Amino acid sequence: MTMAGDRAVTSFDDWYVGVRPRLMRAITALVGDPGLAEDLCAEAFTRAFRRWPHVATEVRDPDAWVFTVAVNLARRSWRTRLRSPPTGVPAAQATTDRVRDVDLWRLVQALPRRQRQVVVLRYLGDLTEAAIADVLKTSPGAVSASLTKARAALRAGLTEGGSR
Amino acid sequence: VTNANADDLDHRLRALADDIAVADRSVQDTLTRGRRRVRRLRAAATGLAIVLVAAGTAAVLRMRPEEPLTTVGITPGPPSSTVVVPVTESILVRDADGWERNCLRIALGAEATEGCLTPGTTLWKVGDRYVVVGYGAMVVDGVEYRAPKGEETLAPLRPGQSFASVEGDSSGHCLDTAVLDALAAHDPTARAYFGLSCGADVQFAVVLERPHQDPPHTTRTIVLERIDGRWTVHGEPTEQLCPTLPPPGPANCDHIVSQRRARTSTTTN
Repeated sequence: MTMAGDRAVTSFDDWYVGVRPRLMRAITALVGDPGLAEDLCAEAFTRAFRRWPHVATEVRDPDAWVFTVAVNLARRSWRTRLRSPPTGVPAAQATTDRVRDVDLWRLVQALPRRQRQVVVLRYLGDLTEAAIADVLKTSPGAVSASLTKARAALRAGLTEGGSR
Repeated sequence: VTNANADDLDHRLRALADDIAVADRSVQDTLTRGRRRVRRLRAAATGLAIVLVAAGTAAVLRMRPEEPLTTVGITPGPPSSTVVVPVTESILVRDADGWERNCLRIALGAEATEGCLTPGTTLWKVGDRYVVVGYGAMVVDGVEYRAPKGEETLAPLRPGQSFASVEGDSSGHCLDTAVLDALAAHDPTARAYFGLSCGADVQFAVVLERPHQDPPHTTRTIVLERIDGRWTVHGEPTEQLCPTLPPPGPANCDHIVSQRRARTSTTTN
């Protein structure tokens, strides 16, 4: 680790190791396709790597930055419906097959898109509300409101379903 | 709702993360995968084609990566009304992230637009005007823009969809000729409107201003509000476009927005 001004600069490798599991989980949950999620995360990290000196020293929150890139790529993949052929690198490094709390998982998947994004970024991506606001280009207040609505919807769904 | 219930829900939500298995992947493997993906997408984009779908007075122009560039196809759309929009050039642009991508220059009316549309963008021709809707983004001189609220309200269009069958809560309003008339009355010289964001009663239209050559202010956003059933244009923007990603260098969105505000002010005054 080095210092740039008063800011500690993590090496790309260290940063990658810390953020990748969170990013992979969140993007997998958002796109619902582990192989595509890995592709998107790989592209996001590749972009970060190419610009690492800038990202590491001038971007306020590199974690939010790479989440932003990945979420934008996910949006683009939804827009274009562009599905990628195999890359030659083993795919599907994340899976949701082992989710034990199936009731809650289904309810999360059924949330309106923005609420689902906020929940996934908060709990699977482990981002702060401020970082989520950065990623989704909205205000922290809007993120907080979406989280509140989402929690209420999840709670209601769990009650209706008699879960727990 | 008790705190215990809230805590329980939080705990269960956090526990979901533990259930999504993520295998270790080295930095090198990930970067290799990312580079291959980029190369693959770049190769696919060279096969862009334009498919024009006629639908009454409107036509849909859609770039389809899976079709060859040389194909300018007319797909059936009820009723038939053919408008051929020539592809003037296939170009490679560099986006805000320094990322190269393939785009097309297309002719809009008598002038070729300097910006280019990214794959997945749908361009509607309404009368003699062109409107980009859906999740489309616009690249102007290498910087990608999209309407800040457009993605909130619009669903992607598919080739062949007519106005009536457009998905989304109110995207049909974007194509309302009354909106276009209001825009045209506000700025008769503007020929292309990008990144319309649809709301039932408030919309944002991004007007492509070709006479200006500097990238950030080749577009400006105007606001339309429907009052008593009539669309009213509010001249000064209350929403601004931002690059999808922070551009290279020290500039950020605020920087560009402030630049554009200053220039827009100069333009309008």
